[in-house]
Amino acid sequence: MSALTETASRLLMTGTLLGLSACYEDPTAVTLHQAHVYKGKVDEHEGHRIWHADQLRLRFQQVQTDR
Amino acid sequence: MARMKFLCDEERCIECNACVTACKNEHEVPWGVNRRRVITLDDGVPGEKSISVACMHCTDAPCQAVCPVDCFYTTEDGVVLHDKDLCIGCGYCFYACPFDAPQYPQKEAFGARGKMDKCTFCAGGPEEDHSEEEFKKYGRNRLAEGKLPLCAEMCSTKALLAGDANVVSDLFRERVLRRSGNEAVGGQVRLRKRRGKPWGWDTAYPE
Repeated sequence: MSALTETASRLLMTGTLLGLSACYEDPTAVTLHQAHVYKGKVDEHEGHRIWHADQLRLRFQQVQTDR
Repeated sequence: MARMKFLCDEERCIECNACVTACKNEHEVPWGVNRRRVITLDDGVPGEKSISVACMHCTDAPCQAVCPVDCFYTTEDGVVLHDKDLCIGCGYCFYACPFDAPQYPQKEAFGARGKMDKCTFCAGGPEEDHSEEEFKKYGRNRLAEGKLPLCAEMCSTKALLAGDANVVSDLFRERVLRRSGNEAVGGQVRLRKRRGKPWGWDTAYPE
């Protein structure tokens, strides 16, 4: 009985050590990012830029005219 | 493509702080965070100068260069924005910025600052346009509505200008010429006989 317990505890210890060593992880699953490259969400606002420039220029003339 | 810039005319700014109030009101900026502020040089001395300062949306932004998690991005309009989901509140951008633009909502134990907050040129953030999430994190997205930043739009003396850098600089150049006693008509400088300084403190408050 004690031999069985000893074997089980050794197995458990081996499993724990393996688990902690992270050898089970797939090294290819790691995401690598280039430095100074934005990796957040895409700004939907970018899609408006076609009409955007003219509209904003017009807005400037309307509300920020000199006096 | 337009490159959006702010320009504050120190000869026109009267330190009314309306731009600060408008910004806080429009974006519901929390207490303790000031995306824009007015700075006065030689306060109380005749000839004092005031300018309204916020994020200047630098072309080569130092905050962007030092961010360890690369949470900054520049839009096609030249507006420097950041992603609060990526920001770790390290404060590097605060030390790098020459305009003190990055602001932090907290000041707690162990230097916890919370997510950085700064002027967005009223362009929101990477969340969906006009979404509740975008408003909560970044404030109103006026640029996507075809409007310019509110601070500049409501400036009573038109000291603060915001828009395409070319348009803004053209307007400012004309102003400078007018103040010097000259006039710019259709891009040409028309020289006029100078009758003293037509603009500024000395004219407003002659001794």
